[in-house]
Amino acid sequence: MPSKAKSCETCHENPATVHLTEMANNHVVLEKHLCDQCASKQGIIGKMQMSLVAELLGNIKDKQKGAAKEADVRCPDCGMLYSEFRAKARFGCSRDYDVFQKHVLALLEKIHGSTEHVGKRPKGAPKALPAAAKGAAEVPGPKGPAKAAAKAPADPVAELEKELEKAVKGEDFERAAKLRDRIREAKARKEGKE
Amino acid sequence: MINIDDLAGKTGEWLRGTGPDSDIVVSSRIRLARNVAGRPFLTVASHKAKAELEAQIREGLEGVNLGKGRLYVALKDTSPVDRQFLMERHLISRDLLNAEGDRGVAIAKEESVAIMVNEEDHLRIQVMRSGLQLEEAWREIDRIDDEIAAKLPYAFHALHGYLTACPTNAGTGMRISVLLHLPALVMTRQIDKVFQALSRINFSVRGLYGEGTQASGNFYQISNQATLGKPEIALVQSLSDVVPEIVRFERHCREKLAKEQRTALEDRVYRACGTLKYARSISSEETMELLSAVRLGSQLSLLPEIKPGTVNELFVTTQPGHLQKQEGRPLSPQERDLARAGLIRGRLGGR
Repeated sequence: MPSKAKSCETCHENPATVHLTEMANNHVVLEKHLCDQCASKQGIIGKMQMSLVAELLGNIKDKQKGAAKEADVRCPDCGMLYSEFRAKARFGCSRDYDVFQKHVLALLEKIHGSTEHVGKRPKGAPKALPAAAKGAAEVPGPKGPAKAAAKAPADPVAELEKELEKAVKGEDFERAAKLRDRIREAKARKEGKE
Repeated sequence: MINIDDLAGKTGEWLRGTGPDSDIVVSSRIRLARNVAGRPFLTVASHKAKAELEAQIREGLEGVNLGKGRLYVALKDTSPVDRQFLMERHLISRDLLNAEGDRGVAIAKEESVAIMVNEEDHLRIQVMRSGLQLEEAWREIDRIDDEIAAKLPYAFHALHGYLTACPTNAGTGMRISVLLHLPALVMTRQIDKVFQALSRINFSVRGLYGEGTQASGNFYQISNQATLGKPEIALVQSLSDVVPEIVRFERHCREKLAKEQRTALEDRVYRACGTLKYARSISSEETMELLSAVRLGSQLSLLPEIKPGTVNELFVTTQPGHLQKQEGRPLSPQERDLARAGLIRGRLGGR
């Protein structure tokens, strides 16, 4: 006898392959069994992907309750507001990483346990940590990798020190300690090079 | 110049059932998320921006050595059946299938290379290998990525690395996925233990077709969660270290089943094979379940006449898109069940 698979609750046609269970206080509050197509249409698959980021963003907000009333920031390039980013959990352009920097640092730390990329770099991109200052988001620029690399940005140490100051002010001492280590490393790297 | 119909006649390299540990590791896959500098992400891109991006990326990719037999599929002008077909072969994602506007995929080297254009990020580069071959996959994708970088300036941040639309991909932009067939861990109820251990060390586990899908046919994809803060090779290494542990555990459970529950195991495998060989109508769900048992049986020499590659292939070719592609017309779910049963009988030598 064929084992009868549960069919999709919405179309009653395809087999249910997406099984959603929502829990609250250790009790199941909602169960849904859908096929891929219907789950996509209802945005459930996208929602599942987004929930991690949204949840993390929520946590970060709670932590920053003190500064809750601050004005929404808008990216001058893509026009995205920080509040929109929070809702979509997707950036509008690469500049958003700098425009929403304060939030982005905390978010990346939460997701990855790190904010600093230590892997490969496009040829021509500077090896050391350059300033993440305005405009430095994209290396190489639209004119091609070689040219853009020439305008390698300013002092990495200064940038890290700025971040450290911020961390201390915000009483985020864990982060401050990490930054201090990185400043030491960056200084050592710099001296080694010169 | 090849087209989608040429793909339908055969299967990709990664399905061959060859390569290290291929009795359990179906495939190794690495993907890199990349965006073109100075262009809006797809989150906000207008139709015009998308069209320009696709054109720019297609042109850029032309100068990149992707190996022989390359093909570009512009998905906007592609039928729903063809799109479904590409998704079932893991050449495009569900998101790209459902997206709107100008987008596409470049496919090369017997489907071991696929570059999605205008998915969540401008480029999603993917390299797939049969069995456990992560280092090889990394070397190849690293080279392809370098060549693309020479043609298209990437959005790259000095501190955060490669910038992606979703912050969960930033840094390396790299997601490594190993597709495992773990029927014995499921049968012996050890699978949850494995999942819990994996999530503690920050690996995620998903079903056959990625995020949000159920693990049908006892297939599981294991991937890295964090993409930032470690060099690529360390991420590759972390999976290369953990996967053999799971493989060993699955093998141990298979041996245990074969020794301690021989009759129950044989009963399950031969019943599954019998149904597949003679059924006249069969659902996709039941097919996955039974093929899983047959795959296990063939690995344990209970079904020596069935080649591992044949079973691997059937997991993909019995999917709805593939059946409709083979029949050359859209099929209702009932018609698909008939076509599916016919295909399986043919491939497994039934009647």
